[in-house]
Amino acid sequence: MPPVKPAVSATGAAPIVAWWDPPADGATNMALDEALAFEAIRLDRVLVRISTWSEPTLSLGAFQAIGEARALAALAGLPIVRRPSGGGAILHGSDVTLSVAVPRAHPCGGVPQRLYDTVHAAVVAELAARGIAAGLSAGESTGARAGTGDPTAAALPAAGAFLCFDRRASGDVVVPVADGRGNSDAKVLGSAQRRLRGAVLQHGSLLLAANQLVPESVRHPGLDDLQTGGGACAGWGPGGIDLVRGWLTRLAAALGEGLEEPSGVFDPSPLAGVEEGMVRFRQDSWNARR
Amino acid sequence: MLKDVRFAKSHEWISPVAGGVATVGISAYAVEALTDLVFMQLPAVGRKVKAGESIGEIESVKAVSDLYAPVAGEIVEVNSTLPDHLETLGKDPFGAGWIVKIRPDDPAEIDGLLDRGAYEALIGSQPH
Repeated sequence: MPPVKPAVSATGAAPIVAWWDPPADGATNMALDEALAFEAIRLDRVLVRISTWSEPTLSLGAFQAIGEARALAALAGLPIVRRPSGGGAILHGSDVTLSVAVPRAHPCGGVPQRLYDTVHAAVVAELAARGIAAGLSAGESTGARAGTGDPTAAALPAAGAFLCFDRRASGDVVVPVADGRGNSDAKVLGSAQRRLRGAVLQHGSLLLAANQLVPESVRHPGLDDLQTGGGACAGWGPGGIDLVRGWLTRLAAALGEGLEEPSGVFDPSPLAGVEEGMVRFRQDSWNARR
Repeated sequence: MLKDVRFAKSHEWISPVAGGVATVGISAYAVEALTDLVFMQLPAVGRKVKAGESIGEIESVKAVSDLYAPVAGEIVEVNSTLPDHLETLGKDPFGAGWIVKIRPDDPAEIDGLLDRGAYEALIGSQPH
């Protein structure tokens, strides 16, 4: 990629930089996202990486027990990767990952909620512009399926808490349509952060469509499934890309002074440690550490 | 006691050395910023650490943050009840919410950290 120039002045005074990367496996995606945070520190810039997954993958939050994932027989055979960020498990495959790295000195690098809200508000605004009535969750529910009488719930250990899209944290993007899983709304975007000394990495998963590659018992409706007539973004095709581009433009207006989109893929400095990260994110010492 | 503690820019506090050992925690500001703590991982007793090295992690509803050693030394004790009572961090961050005790390699290193006034100026300048 062409070199990205460091910010000349205070953080936030430069355009944000965004890359659209090709599908990759879990370890590669995590290593590149971690490197995104290190590059945000080095360049003192807000960096964004938009990525998808080359195979259906279960990503675990940083502290989730891998036994819970393995206990989900329905997920057997899916590769598992542990994220550096927190939050609940995500079944990737019909979502797009919105990774945002912000230097800690940036106005959104302080308290966690501000970056969360800024990124999510841009999605809500973009969806509204497309006639989709999404909003931000008040965040009171953490156990979507518990006590609902759902016969599959008993098979899932702490089901609501385990899967990200069964949780409702303050600021999650929801569409006011019952999700068929005991919630009166459907979550379409959730995010979680890794807060390093010099930068914050925020992972967001925007669920474009229900993931047909996973069993129905762990499937959540996505944007395409929630709209009358369907086809809100038609998955990760031109419609989905257009939606994310609209979000990116809004985010750039909120976080920086414009937007740079270098040609080519995100190709960080060797100092960012991508090679080491790709090894670590494939090892049991990381993925099965809990 | 609070007037004597020093702070790292990464929001850990460290007490004066007593009996060769200093106590480490995280500031009330950091606890408040993280909100809704759900999990904490502590280091092993006996571990040797460098200043600025990660000695643990703490997870809130939305974020995972590293805890950093404010000075180099050996971890001699951890507050093992804390992970099961994370509310203590919010209620008494400078007392019962202590996290580890460390035997500094060089106690004078503590003097190079921020005093309370400098730390308050730091957090006053940070985005809220």
